[in-house]
This record gives sequence, structure tokens and C-alpha cells, in this order.
Amino acid sequence: MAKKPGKAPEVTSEEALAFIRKMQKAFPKTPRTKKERARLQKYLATFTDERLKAVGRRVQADVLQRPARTITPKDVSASTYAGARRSRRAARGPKRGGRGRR
Amino acid sequence: MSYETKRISEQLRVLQPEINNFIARYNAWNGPALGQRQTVFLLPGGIGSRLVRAKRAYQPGGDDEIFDYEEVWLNAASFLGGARDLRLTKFGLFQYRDLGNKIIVADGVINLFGVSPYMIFTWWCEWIHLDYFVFPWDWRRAVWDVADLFTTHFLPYFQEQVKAGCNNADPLARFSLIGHSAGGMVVNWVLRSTAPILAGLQKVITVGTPFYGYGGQLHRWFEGDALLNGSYTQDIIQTLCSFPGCYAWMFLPHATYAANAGRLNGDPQYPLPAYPSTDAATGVIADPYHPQTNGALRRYPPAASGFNPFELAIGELVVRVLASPLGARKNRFWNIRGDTLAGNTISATTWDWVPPTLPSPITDVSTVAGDTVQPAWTTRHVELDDLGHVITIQSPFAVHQVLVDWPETLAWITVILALP
Repeated sequence: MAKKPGKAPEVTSEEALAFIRKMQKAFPKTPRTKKERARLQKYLATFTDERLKAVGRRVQADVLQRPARTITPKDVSASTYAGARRSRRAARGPKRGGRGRR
Repeated sequence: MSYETKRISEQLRVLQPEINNFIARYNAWNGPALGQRQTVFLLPGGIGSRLVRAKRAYQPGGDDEIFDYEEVWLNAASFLGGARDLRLTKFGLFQYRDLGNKIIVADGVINLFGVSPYMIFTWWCEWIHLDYFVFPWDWRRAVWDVADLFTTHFLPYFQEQVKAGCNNADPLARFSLIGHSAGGMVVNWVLRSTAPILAGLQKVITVGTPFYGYGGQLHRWFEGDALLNGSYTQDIIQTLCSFPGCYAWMFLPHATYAANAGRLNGDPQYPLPAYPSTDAATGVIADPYHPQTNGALRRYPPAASGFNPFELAIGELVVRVLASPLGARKNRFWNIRGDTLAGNTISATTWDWVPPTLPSPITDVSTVAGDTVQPAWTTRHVELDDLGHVITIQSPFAVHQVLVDWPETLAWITVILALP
């Protein structure tokens, strides 16, 4: 997702996945007991709210929805990029307005 | 009281505080300053509803028992094997029980590390005094199942409660539905219902909802989910395979493609020129709903993985219904879709034979315009093209998970619902 001006820095899918994998390494067993859950909370408290929220946003975008990786130009064929360019040109063109803008 | 009856009863009970909030808001204002008063229900996207699990198991005969719940989706523990608790067990035709007979119900929207979706939408509703209700739903279950809960159980209960709390005002006299992502599949199903309680239904709006499937789900039958797997990949795959709802998220059946090929390819900006799922070697169609075999080789993982051919057949029926003609109902139906202008939404996959399942037989082979999750060609019903009921949000910020909250989307919802 593109960065929004003035917002906390976004994390990439890879960074969010790395964050989750690090947590999985620290907790190889599902925390079930009060003590285990408290340890998990203590672990999460070592990160800033800003960092956690950035990870939370990215994870919500990726989990059970899309690959936890950034789609890069190598994923995209030349024709697809041409389509994207057409799309951008259309977006910059005169506003057609009204209902049913497609 | 059966497990299913108890689950529904508990679901309604858990929603009561939010119904009370609706009543409080309803009594605090007189609706929008201009325009007629109406109720708007938002159905969150597929993973957007928070799920909670009973702390004790259901016991037959315990009709009066009220359960305490703990969050099972979505929190940090979900990534540490906790998602395995979401597993469903089939115990009869269209009958499912939660793991360990501990009832799971939907309660609000997810909040992970302090981040929740739809915050701007709900703030906007309050700002313009729009009577809104966010209806969380169990996204593991089939579209028809959730639609039935909403129409047959929730709406009559909601109407009764609001009438009792709002001087007999009927919140369903005029109401509309908005469904985000898979929530749009549910509202699409509801739109097709003939239930009398829907007499006041005005508009049905989908936002980023697939009508013809998308490429993400096929991977999960083989790979689980990179974020959830941890050291439990096989368990996560079995868990995901146990969700009947997921079987309707794959690319459309080839017959549905063939019936709509002209219109799918006829979209001037977002055409679908060919069937999106093909064999890795030959390029011939590989229909997820009609998996071929090749000698001893097949398309799907073995039964031990939890993959269920019966659910696949039901999933196909769901997709066919949701993509089928709407008749006069199409006049009330609107689709909003996103295009981030980056052309980086996965659009087509190839499929190799299995075994082996490692590495995955599914490969993403092309990307197109879309909202990073759903390609733009799938997020509108082709019948709406001629009506001008397809709205495309073109912006780098028209990203799937925030599409409902995006100001341009809210502006279009204002227009569609004839709000001030």
C-alpha cells in the first residue's frame, strides 16, 4: 500500500510476515494459560504502538486475502503494465462524472 | 435445544449490546437532516468480523445456559496456532459444529494491535445521522447459511427489539444493505430472497465484492496461509478446508465464464479476455469446480488434507447463483470496485497436477488492475453494466481493505442512497 502523507510509516507484506514469524519463533506453542498469555502481552509491549498498528494494518490486508509478499514488476507481464498505464491515463483524463463511471 | 438452535440464539444474544447502541442512536437523532430516514446494514468483509468462542462446551439439554466467550479471531494468538480453534466439524447434511462443541459467534469487527476496519464508515454514519448497524458474521460458514441467519433470525429479532425501544418505529420500513468483499456475496444472496421481511429493502451495494472469484483461495488448499501457518501448516490447511464458505471464493466455473465471456471481455477498461485458471503445461482450462484427473494425478490435495469435494459442489452452486441474472432486482443493485492504478492485482493462475503438492501446484501468472486483492473484472455483476450501476474508484488508495472507508466510496454511497 502506498504511503499516506503524515501517517506512520507503512510496513510491507514481507516486513509484516517477518514480524509474525519472529513472534511464532518466540512462541512455538499456542499460548493458552494465563501465564502464557501474559508472556505474549509482555512480548508485544516491547514494540511501539506505532509499529504494532502498522503491522496490524498490513496483516489485516494480507491474511487470508492475498499473498504475504509485495507484487513486483517481475510478477507483471508487459501487457499488464500497458493496461495499468491505460488505466492511469484514463484516470487523468477529463472527468466523465455521473453514475456508472467505469 | 439443538446445537444449531443454541448457536443462533447465542449469536442474537451477543449482538444485543450493538442493537441497544442502535436504539440509543436512533432515539438521539431524527435521521439525516435531509432525505428520508433509513437503516443501513454493513456486512464486513470475509475476515473482518471478530469471532468469539465459548469457554465451555455445549451440552445437550442445557437450554438456559448462557456462555462466556473469548476472542478467537483475530489477535496475536491467532498467528501462534490459535487459528486452529476455528475448525468446523461436519456432523450432518449442512450441519456443522465448532471445535470441541464450543460455540463460535461473530461479535463486532476485528481489532488487531489497535487497528479496526470501518472506523471512518461508522464515524461518517454518525456525522450525517444515518441509522447504521454493522452486522458481524461468521465468515467460515457458507453464504446461504449466513444469509439465512440474517434474514430469518436476525432481522425479525432486530425489528422487534428496535420497535420496543423506539416507540414502535420500524427500522425495516426503509433499509439498505452494504456488503464489503465477501460480505457483498451475502447481501447479493439476500437480495435474491423473497422473504416478506425484506419488503422495505431499498438498495443493495457491494464494495470490492467478487462475482467471478479470485486467485487467492486456490493457494490455501495446498499452502495454508503464510501468516497463520507457523509450525502448524497441516493443521491450518485442515482448518481452512473445514470452512464451507471458502469453497465459493475460487475462480468461476467455466460454464459461468462461457455464458458471460462476451460481457466479461467487453468491459472497456477491465476486460477478462480468457478463463483465468489453466493447466501449467498445456494451457487448457483447469476449472476449480470441475477438477480433472490425469491417470493417478488429480487437481486437489488428498482427502487427508481435509479438502471436501461435497463442499466444492455446494460452492459451485453458490457461485452460480450469485453470478446469475437478477431480473428486476438489478435495479436496486450497485457495485463499487477499486482500481489502485498499479495493475498489481493477481488475475490468473496456472495449475499443475498433484501429487506432489510441494511446492504448490498453483502459480500466479498475471496481474491486472484491481484493489490489490480483487481484480477489477470480478468486482461487478456484468448485468449492471448497462444500468450504469457500476462505480469504479480509481485511486492509489482504493485498496481492498480500506475501500469502504475511502471518501470517494462514501460519496458514492451518499448518491446511491439519496442522502444529503
